[in-house]
Amino acid sequence: MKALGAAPHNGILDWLFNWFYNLFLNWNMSEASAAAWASGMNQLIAFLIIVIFIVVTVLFVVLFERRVLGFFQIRHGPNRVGPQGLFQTVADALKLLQKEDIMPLAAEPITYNIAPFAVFVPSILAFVVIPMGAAYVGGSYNVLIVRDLNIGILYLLAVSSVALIGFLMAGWGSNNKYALISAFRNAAQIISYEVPMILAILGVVLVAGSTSMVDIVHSQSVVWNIVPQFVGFLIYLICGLAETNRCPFDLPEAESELVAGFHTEYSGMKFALFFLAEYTNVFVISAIITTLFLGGWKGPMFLGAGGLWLTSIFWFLAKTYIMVTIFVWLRATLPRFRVDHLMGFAWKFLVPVAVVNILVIGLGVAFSHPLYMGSPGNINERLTADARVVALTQLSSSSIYNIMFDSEKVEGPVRIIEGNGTVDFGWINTAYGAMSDDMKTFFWAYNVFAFLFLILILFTVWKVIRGVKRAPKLEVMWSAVSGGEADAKA
Amino acid sequence: MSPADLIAIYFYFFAALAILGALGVVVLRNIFHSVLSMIVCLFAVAGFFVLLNAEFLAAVQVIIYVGAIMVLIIFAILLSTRIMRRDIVQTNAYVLPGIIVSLAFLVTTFFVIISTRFVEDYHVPFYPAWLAEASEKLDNTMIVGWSLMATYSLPFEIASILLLMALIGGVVLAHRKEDD
Repeated sequence: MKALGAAPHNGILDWLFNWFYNLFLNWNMSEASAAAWASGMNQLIAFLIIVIFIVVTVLFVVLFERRVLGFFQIRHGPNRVGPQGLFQTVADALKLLQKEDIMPLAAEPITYNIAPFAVFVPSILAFVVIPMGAAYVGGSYNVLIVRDLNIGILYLLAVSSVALIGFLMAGWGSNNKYALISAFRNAAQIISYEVPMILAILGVVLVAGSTSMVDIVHSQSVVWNIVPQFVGFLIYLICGLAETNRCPFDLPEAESELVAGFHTEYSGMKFALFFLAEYTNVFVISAIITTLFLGGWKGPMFLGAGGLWLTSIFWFLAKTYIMVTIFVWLRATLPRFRVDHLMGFAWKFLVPVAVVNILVIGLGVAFSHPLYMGSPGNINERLTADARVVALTQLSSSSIYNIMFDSEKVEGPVRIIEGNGTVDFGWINTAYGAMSDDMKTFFWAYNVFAFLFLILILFTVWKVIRGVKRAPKLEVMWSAVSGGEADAKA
Repeated sequence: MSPADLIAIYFYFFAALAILGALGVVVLRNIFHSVLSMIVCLFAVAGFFVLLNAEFLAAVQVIIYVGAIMVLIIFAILLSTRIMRRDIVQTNAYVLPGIIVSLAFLVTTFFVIISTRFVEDYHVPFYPAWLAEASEKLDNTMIVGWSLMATYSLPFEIASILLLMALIGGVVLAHRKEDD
């Protein structure tokens, strides 16, 4: 029997639901109450798994960062507590739990006390839509995700925008000028960097044709998005750094100017919540980059179908921790930005580049460039757009994935008959040999154009990072030009 | 407990939250607290959208209203230090007219609501036939996309031109002339 008000078929949770449902039916429950209790148990278990996963992950990421920083700075880092210092952060956390919770007299109690939760809860909520792997459970293909929301990536954006309110509450509530300035900087920074970030995400959504995280991962089964969308990847990486207040964008926490920023007045567990939220966000942003640009859990599945869950989780975590390492690497390498540089960089450089990036990707998608095929299949073939939509609407998602990944390669249009109806899958041949002459011309023009664009962006990024001697200032040139006009007027 | 009961429970929860939030905006003395309760109210509205299977609208509601507009309002409040940390009286000489006008509005809305005939199966014939057939299982985001890009493409384009004009207008207004 189908679950009452059940979500679409996805994830291992449905299997779990059925297990509990049957268990409760065996206990002579009525069908409705068994369904209610099973979904309750389901949510409880998912919640516990997520919370345990987050705590372990954050404890590990903190240690990981300290050890990697130690490596970059040619020192050991924490290595005394437990083997290789593995329990260092556990000890730190226990210490923080015992600390006295001090609230300044001048603080505004309600705002001050709610703020840590308003910052921490959104970072947990982000885990709901991050697909961490795939598995065969009970013979059918399942994705390891809590809920495959159809607005996946939009949900992530919405959730991350809530944390900003928490920062402002912390800054205002603690009645401290450093905290308030830090909250301002944070808000200005996050609002500015959200624009190019969303534009970079749009490129991925264009190729995948969906905002669901699972669909985005499946759209990269042939080539990861980092290859055709390297510029988008760079933009997202930079904006992700800014969004998590990591170096070189850690202006809100600049120790030399603002003591500790918005959490200056917090102590004990409330400080720990801010700390947890920051490192959870580092992991979440890395996981999002993995999902959007690095192909999610996809990779060589060397253990076969039976060990799919293990290999997919392995690839997901490996890619995510590579991104975490890059975050730490950047922190160890780059100095902090200046405020005006920060804003100028977002609005004058990242936004125009992101717009051109969308233009390039849109052209590729519109003219069926093989790299932007975006649907699962072979590199030389893509499903027709209609077939994808019909497949999405007519078949359950698990059966679509079974058809696309598991069955042997099928030639020509495929007809699938399921309970809901019949679906014809049309395939477009996108191989180079099958292109018309016009298409070939476009193909090469596009490739050259995209390559030049990439080189231009990389050159500019290189210039920004290395601080190569700049061109004459714009104002000087402008005064040289307009000076002549002023003379003519006079 | 049936799904309808659950939905009813969620509905009343969000309704209470929305009303409390809206009341807080008007009643609370501290203006920062008012803003925070307005955020609660907007969240409750996003909850209604989710209950109506309009997830896309819910996400957009949170991203735009909470993530952008409320943050700008908070900026404006926090930058005006005179009212920042002070309980201010939210009422003035126009209390009575205000109450009368809002009561009149409430009564009008009430009569409009009770006299409306709600159609249960409202089928919109705007999509291609196969899409309309499939719209039961189609996700909300895709339907919004189809409506904007196919049926309502002209209003959509006009709206975007309007926004572009506002953008350029903002740039022109903010641009400082060196000579003046």
